[in-house]
Amino acid sequence: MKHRTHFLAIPLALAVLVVTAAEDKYLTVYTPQAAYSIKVVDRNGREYVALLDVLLALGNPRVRVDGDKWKLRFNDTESEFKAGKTKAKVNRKDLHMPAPFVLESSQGFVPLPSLGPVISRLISVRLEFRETARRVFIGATTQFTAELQKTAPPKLVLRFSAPVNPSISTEPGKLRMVFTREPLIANVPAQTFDDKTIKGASFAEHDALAELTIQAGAPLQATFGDQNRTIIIAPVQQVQAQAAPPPEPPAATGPGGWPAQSATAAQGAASPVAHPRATVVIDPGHGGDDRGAALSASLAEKDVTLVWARRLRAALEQKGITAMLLRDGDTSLSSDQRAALANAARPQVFVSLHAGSTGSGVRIYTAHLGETGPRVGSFLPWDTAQAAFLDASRALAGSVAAEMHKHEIPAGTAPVFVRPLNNIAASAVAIEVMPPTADIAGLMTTGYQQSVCAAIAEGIAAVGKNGASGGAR
Amino acid sequence: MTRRVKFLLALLVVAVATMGYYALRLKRQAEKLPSPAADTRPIAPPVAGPTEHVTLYVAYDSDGTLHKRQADIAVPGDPSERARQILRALISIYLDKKSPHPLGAGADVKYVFLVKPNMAIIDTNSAFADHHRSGILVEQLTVASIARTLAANVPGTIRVKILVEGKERETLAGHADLADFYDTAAGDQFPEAE
Repeated sequence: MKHRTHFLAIPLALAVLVVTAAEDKYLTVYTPQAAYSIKVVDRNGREYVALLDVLLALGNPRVRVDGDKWKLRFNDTESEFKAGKTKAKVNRKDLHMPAPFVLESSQGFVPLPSLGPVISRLISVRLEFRETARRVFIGATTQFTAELQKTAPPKLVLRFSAPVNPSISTEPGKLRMVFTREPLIANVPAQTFDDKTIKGASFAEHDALAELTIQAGAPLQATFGDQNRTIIIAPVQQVQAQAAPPPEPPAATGPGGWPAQSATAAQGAASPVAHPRATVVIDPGHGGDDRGAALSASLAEKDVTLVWARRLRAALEQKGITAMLLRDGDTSLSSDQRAALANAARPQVFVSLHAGSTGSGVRIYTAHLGETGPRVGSFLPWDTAQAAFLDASRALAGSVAAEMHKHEIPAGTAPVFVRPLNNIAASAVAIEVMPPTADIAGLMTTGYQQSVCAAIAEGIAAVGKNGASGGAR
Repeated sequence: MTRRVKFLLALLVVAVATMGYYALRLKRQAEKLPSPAADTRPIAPPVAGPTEHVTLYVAYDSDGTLHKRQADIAVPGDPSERARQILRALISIYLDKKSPHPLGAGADVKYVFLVKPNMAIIDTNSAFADHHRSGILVEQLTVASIARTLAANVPGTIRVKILVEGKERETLAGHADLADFYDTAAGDQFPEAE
């Protein structure tokens, strides 16, 4: 009977082996220039990483395969690994690895625990490797402090040593911030506050990311400030919907040629949230469940558009042009909701931001409109509200494209059939940003973002100076 | 247990282990291969029927243009089926390995309904939208290329609507609007190249 059980167990175990699909695992390497993810592979039940993938972003590695030897030249160092051997020579010194070196199709894989010792011998910069969380920090890390301000309502002020851009989600009793690109670490893993609304904060790092969770007794929302160095967590403000206010005369002219910030709040019946009146409304495309395009294994379009939107807001504010974002976190919004929120804010300019991986530079789109519905009194038809502003939108697109060319950034314009452009009662463009080169990671480099956003802001300011009036309102 | 039975049982264990190992290897090999979701072969136009000279507007991702191409394809007499076969000829270009604007494997046009003198409704299959790449330009090029090809070969077509498996869909792959009618008379969207 005992033998029979064993006979049954073998095929069952094999079947489980065959059916079980291993989940992809990644390692995140944070460098002063960028953060990037590398796939962790399984070989003989152990975790390995391709050493060359890690080193490519750190310098100029050159590899030569000589039989079962994998010879690496990196900057001024020389190393040699041998397939199937645990002993290697790294920067001319012996290194013992817990598992043998793997050589496959000229690619060299080292066991994950050896990655820290290997890299620290090849570079002179400070390195910290957190193996359990699969996070490698090269250079400075980002730290934060959490301070509860017992105002009414209470606020939790999180101050970071460098700008951050987490994905934010909420669930009953929690607000969760996930940091995938920031080298965020915490000195204290958890804090408890003597407050019924904001009860505490806990930090965890796992699966190549960091997570900050706020325990709450009421729904919370997060707002960003100080160039994304501060996040303020506070209870969600309930705003009563009001009837749409009558049209207002244009506000006083601000430094950018566009009206300066008005203290009047634009609250439309269709808008669930009150916004201060802004000259430019920026719509970071996608968000929440809608991830947009998968630009790479770890880069979703919704995250890229949010980073760029915040950067564009900062560039506009530097020019004295007030701007607001339609979403400043990982929020789901339908295209009709976006249009309703934007129209309720009654901006002069609407910019919908998207990101793409086909091509390079920037594409600026205006609405592709055909037949327009009849205007009923002072109301515009919803589906073709943009028609009355199309000339102004084309002028704006041309102005932004001209500024791009001045900055030597490739740019083109075209009309497209993309919502919510058609429903916007203002000068409206959709801007699709693409990386400067074929490498998609270039989309997330600060220098490129600043350069493109400065050109967009200049293009908007130039149209403002030449006459901001769009179509009929 | 006789010696013979023991031998047979041992043989069975070895056979099961070998098959298990072989299955594991097959699975790993299959994982390494690119996984086409469906048949990627280009759709062949019908072999029967008279041949007609048609105009196709082929999208090029590299420069964001539509290239006007002439083709001779066999088309049936029924106007709706004729329109469908012209669009299938266009899609077959996009399913080719060297396509300038690749579409997802298995993309196809199921029906074309010429509803009014100026209106066409194109029903595509789920692979057309589900496997489409996401991005403003690539999605818009697909819609513009289909609409302009139809307008060029079915004179008078102004309004075009694309359905997926007979149902309305908000966007093609997150960007291009499919909820409304596409107006071919609203002006040329993309530069045309010969």
